[in-house]
Amino acid sequence: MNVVDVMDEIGRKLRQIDGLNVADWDAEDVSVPAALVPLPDRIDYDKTYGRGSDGITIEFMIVIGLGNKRAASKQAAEFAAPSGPRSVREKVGAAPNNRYEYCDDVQVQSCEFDVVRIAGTDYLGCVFTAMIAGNGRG
Amino acid sequence: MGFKHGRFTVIKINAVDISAFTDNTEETDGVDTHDVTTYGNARKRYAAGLGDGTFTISGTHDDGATGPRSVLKPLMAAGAPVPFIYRTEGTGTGLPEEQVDVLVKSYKQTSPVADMVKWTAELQMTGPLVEIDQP
Repeated sequence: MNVVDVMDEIGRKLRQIDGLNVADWDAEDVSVPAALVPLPDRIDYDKTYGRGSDGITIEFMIVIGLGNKRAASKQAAEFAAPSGPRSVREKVGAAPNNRYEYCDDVQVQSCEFDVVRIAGTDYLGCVFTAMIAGNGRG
Repeated sequence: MGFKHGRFTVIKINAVDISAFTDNTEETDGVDTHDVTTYGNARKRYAAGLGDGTFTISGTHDDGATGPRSVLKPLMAAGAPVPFIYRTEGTGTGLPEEQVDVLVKSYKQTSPVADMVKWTAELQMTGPLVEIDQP
């Protein structure tokens, strides 16, 4: 697996969510609601013999403007929903009808909420953790 | 001389390399023992008998044509011995290799909700166990 290819593919799947902007991972200015897919937290090499497979743990987030806290919470709930038109879990999680080219499996395991600061501005952040499995040979 | 890590291990069954789907191999090799104790001994005496052994291999399920289930379940169904190769230190000139025919005795799959599908197979050695250094 190439980490950047996987990050980009996750970004492309997030772009399918209506009204969600996908910012470059190191963006200093975002147009909310925006998704940020950074480098992964961790890569676990050699899950099987002979470079057969690696595992990646990645945290990516959706940031939402905090101008109206109630509206922001409602938006966050839509992105965090297990299914639905704006469900991140459904759009990003691998499934028989949602396959990946650059890895074998992506499981969106959890979502946590927090206030995140980008370029001096506070946003409501939905932080998703995903586990990725794929070929270790590139 | 040095310690060896398991990640370089290579296993092939019926000439198919399933290393990429395997994360553990356990070999048990032993001999029967026969009690030959007679009068006048304070402790038991034994004689070695026939050798026997098994392998337990396990890993992560892959749905490809050379994945573990696609390879191992038909061999189990066929019930015939097939060649098994076990290279504990990987492939390379001078590295150790074990060769023995095996019967695929069992195949187990588990599907945990929070993890990858896993598999385990038990292989029964049959016939000579050959240990060589790879050419």
